[in-house]
Amino acid sequence: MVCRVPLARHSSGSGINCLSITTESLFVLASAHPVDPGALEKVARLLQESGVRSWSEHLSFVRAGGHEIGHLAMPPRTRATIEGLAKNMQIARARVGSAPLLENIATLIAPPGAELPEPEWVSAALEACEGELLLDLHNLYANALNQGEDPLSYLRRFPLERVRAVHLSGGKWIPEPRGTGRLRLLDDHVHDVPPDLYQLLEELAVRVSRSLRVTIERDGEYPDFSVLLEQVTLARRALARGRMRSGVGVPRSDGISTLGGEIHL
Amino acid sequence: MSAQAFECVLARLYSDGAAWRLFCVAPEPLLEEHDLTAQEREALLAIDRIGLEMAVRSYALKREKCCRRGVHRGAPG
Repeated sequence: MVCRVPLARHSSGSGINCLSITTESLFVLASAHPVDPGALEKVARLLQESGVRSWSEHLSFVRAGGHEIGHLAMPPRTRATIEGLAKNMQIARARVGSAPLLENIATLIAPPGAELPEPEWVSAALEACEGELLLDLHNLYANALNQGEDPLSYLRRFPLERVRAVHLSGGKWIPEPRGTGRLRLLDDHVHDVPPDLYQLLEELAVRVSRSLRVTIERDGEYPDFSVLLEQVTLARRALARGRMRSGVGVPRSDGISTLGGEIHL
Repeated sequence: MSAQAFECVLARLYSDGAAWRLFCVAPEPLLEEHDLTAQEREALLAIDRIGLEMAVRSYALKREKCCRRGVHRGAPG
């Protein structure tokens, strides 16, 4: 498989993803705490032995002070976290030999103590560590809607010149507790890609001229495979529309390279 | 160190149900256990409580699912 398709290690502890190599340890880069060098050594060995060419990690933290959250949490959007990230990325580059793409995450809670809004914080974070972005459009979409923001405007504030790869997935609306009558969008990876995401992908393709690796993520409640393929088709059309609007023209298509629905343009 | 302490409080609230319940009724004693700046304390006192409850419940479900599957940690992106 390594010889036939370009593999990308995406940090994920669960689910089925043809391009993910599941690892037990999730280390923390976006943190004021120093990264665990042992975990980085494991990644280095994994990349070397598997021939995987690129890897990614989330702009999140999953533990601190011995408290295991068990899932990705939005780190404090502060300058201190950015400084920590920059140091940790330096260590990661030195230990692994390459830097991970950094992926934005979804959050149900507006993280306390934020010094910057998410798009500006991500921009500053990537600039500080000279990092590249794995843009998860559903995470972006959920955060925008949960804050009452327009997703397209929100997208345009992200550092789009740093985007190298894109994730698409789905979620569901869940009620806020305590009878507020309001809903928040949960990113859960077990629902279809919502139509709005194709519009975001098209807009991204207008603004980013480089090749993008787009992956549709699905971790359960799998529909008929034809439904997934239809989402791949819709993603490809959105990219093509964006490229046409940007004046680049019709993109080259390598077809569907994996069962997970990764497409290369 | 303070930035690290701030992360610790968040991780504790997100992962420790008893600490979260205590925080909901009386946040000050819990915050006093951590070396926080006045600004950080203010930020935590003004936390999005609805979002915190949703996050706490979501993380608990994730941990439960991981335990059932025998996965040490798991986190889709």
